[in-house]
Amino acid sequence: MGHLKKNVLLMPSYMLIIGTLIAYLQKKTAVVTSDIIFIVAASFLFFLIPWGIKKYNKNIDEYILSLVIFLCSMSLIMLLRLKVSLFKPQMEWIGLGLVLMLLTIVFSAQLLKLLEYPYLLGLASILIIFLVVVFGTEIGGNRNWIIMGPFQVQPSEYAKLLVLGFLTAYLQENKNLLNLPNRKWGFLYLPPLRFLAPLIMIWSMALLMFVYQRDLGSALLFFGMAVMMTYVATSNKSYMFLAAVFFILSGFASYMAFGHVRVRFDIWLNPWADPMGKAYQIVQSLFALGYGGLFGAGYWHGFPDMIPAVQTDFIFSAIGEEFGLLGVLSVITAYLLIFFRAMKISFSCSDEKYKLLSFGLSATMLLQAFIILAGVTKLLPLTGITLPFISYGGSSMTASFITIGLLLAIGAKEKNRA
Amino acid sequence: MLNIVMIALQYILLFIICFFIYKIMKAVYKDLHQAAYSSDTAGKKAALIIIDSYDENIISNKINFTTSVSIGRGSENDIVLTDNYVSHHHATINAFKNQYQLEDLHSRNCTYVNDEAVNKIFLQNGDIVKIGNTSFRFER
Repeated sequence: MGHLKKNVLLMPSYMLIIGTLIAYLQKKTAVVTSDIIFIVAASFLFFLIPWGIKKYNKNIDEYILSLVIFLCSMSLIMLLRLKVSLFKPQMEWIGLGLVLMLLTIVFSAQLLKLLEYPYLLGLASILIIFLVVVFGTEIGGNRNWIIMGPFQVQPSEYAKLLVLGFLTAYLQENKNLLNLPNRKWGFLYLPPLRFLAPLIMIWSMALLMFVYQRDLGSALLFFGMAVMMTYVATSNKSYMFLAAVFFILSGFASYMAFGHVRVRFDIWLNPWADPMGKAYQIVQSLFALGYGGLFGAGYWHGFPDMIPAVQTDFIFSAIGEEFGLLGVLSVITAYLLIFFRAMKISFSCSDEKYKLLSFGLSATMLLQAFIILAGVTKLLPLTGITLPFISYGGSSMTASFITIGLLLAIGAKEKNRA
Repeated sequence: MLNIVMIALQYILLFIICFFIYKIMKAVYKDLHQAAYSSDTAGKKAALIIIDSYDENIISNKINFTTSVSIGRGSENDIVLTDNYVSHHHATINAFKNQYQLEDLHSRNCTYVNDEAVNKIFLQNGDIVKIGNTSFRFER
């Protein structure tokens, strides 16, 4: 059982139980009996899942799994505090996510076979995003939701996985062609355009549709994903340079063309121009983080309700307010450790496709966390995307669990071979 | 009374969060440390293949070793090169943790790895080591 002892695996469950206790002492009406049953079930599940999976297949990376469970229990105690009505749905989503993760691990061989068909994956992702353009509904300013009966789905979360699959398969197959430096413009070495065309086509269509849907966070994520994957696959710095130029140009163009981009940019540069109006959210987030200090205001003792959309995009500010610098550092370290372990899996892969895929999956998760953390701390202009595993949201939660399932499956496979 | 319990519980919650991350970090570090310092000799196999030499008879000879090998003109070395450009004790290769380190023993005509004069260097698979008129390929 490696270096992790059972009592360490129990800690996320303890977190849940102590969180519930504080909630009960603070506000007796906050926790009802049915919630307590859910919490007890959750704390058992959070211990049993990593323990059981490890028993079932000892090659599965226990560190990634226990860190994910930690982030989930963080999410649950924050939702218990922020909006108790969302606690039960989130618990159900985590349960569904865990089931999906197990299914992904069991059927990983079949799923990874899909990497043989890059264009299928690319077209499927375009189709999914196109469906949103046609049937999408606007919730919270972003026109990126599809409502199917009782469910609201955010398809871009799943399209992300498909695009990653496409990039992996395409780049691996055409790596040598893309590295052929037979066009030289100045200090740039580029292959003929016809080899790059499919990559640029699929990727720019995805990007354009996101811009059309005003989903700038996803657009930025897709952009960063493609740049990272291309650079890692070809190790050609010319692509990085082109991407930087493209990024500056398109950023400038969208600043000129779209009103909402201009608003976001201006409140980033100077939130104090309009602290009660447009910049209210970011200003409240900064106040919350400042109020937290080193040790935080204490669970249930801050005022994170002041921030709009605190249970999704701004949940990090609530953590910062109530758990302080230490809590924030713990969360960031958790993401970094997941990335680190995933990179270790990636290095151990012998198949180049799996190597690229596991890099892409983990780097995308880290990039997503970075974009939203940079947004709420005003390091970068705010673009609304979810914080993986912590924000409230079914699509984000299940897609992140599928990502982890793929990573664990690839890792187990490589360890089994070695 | 209730207040004290609340404050205690809040600090316990924060402590558990930090302690969990600390434990995981420690476990990850131990895992990495163990992999780097594992003393199993199964993975420790290296060879020097002579690809060019003053003496045509020894070209493409393969010298296998696991822990260390010494190279020089003196007869007490593991690999004896009777070449005027080779010092008496020219260089050694030692297993160091999970790697192999080549050390030049202040030889008169230097030791070259991939055409660069070196003092101490960790060898990678496929490196070309040149001593006097003899070239070796390091494999592991």
